[in-house]
Amino acid sequence: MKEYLTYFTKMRGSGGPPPAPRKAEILLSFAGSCVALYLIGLLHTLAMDVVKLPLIMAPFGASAVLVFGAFRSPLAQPRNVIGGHVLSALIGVTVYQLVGDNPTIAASLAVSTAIALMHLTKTLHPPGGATAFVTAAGGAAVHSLGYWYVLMPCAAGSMVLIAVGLLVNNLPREQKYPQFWF
Amino acid sequence: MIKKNAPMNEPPVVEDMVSEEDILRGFEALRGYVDITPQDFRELYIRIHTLARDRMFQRQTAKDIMTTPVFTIRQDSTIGECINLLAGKAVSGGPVVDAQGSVVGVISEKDILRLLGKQPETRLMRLIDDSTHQALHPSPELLRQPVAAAMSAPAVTAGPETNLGQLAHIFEKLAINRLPIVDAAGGALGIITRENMIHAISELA
Repeated sequence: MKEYLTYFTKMRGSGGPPPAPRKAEILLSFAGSCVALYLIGLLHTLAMDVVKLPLIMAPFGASAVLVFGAFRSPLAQPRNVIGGHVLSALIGVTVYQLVGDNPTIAASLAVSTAIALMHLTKTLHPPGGATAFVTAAGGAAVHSLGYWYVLMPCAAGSMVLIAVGLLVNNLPREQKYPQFWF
Repeated sequence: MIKKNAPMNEPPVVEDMVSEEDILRGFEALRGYVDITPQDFRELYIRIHTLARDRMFQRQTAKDIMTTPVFTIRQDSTIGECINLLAGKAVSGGPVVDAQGSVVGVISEKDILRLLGKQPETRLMRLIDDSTHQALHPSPELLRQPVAAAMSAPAVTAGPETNLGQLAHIFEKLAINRLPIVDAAGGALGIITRENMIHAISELA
């Protein structure tokens, strides 16, 4: 009986959230992510000029949250950002080529495989799940690029994020990014 | 005697030493958003602290902290000789050995007070205040008794590799003041007193 009760009492949670960062830090992460996503937008325009189709990599928005909003997180380190996106895109393209005619199956298989492989390679990066999703079940632009999509925009965009993250996150004397590279 | 390092999958002993408030203050002192909940951090902190503390208590062993060399008292020597020895060395007790040098007991002020018909817990002030001073002048027959008649036996002893954590538990559980450290044959290698324990533990604090 007691075990059943614990099962439910666990759902109440305990304690509170971690504190919010200082206002100045919030302002810096605002500026950093704004610049980084602007540059990634330019990259997208470049890619669209090639494929002549609309292309936008929404997962980079999620990556920016980590790189600029939680840069201490293990999930926000270069290994995870670059590794997570590249690996997930590779899985996405492959799954699309195997079962792409059923986008529902393609998306579920791609995301679950991406999570497992990111864990196995210590490159867990939550936006990678989104990358696997859009790559496996995304629009025509993604599919027309094939494996090129892994390099551009995925690898290129990740590197832009990391580059801006390095420049911005290390501006305050007390901050340092990354915690580790690879 | 001492609890083994708890395996990492067992919940750690809940300790009151670190509050969520302390953790939040620590988080606030850091730059950036700390990507861990205070509850998880607390659990991690307690586990890590327990491991570190256990390691520190296991690193020091009896042979590192014992007083050596230790004088011993033969069990067939008399109470009179024993009192002379303790008074001469200005100590409150020591290990008692048999003819082969094996530790067979411990004799202390308390044992001698008991022999003199006093409560072993008697304090010095009580003795001074006591109207029956003559009881402190033991009879010659009493002083001729062998130490073996008054000592605490069998002796609580420990080996030289007993670690500080185990030693602390022995002192606490058995409410003793001194612990002879013996080799495999029972021969005295040294002695650990409460002072030795306080010294060793204060080094960790």
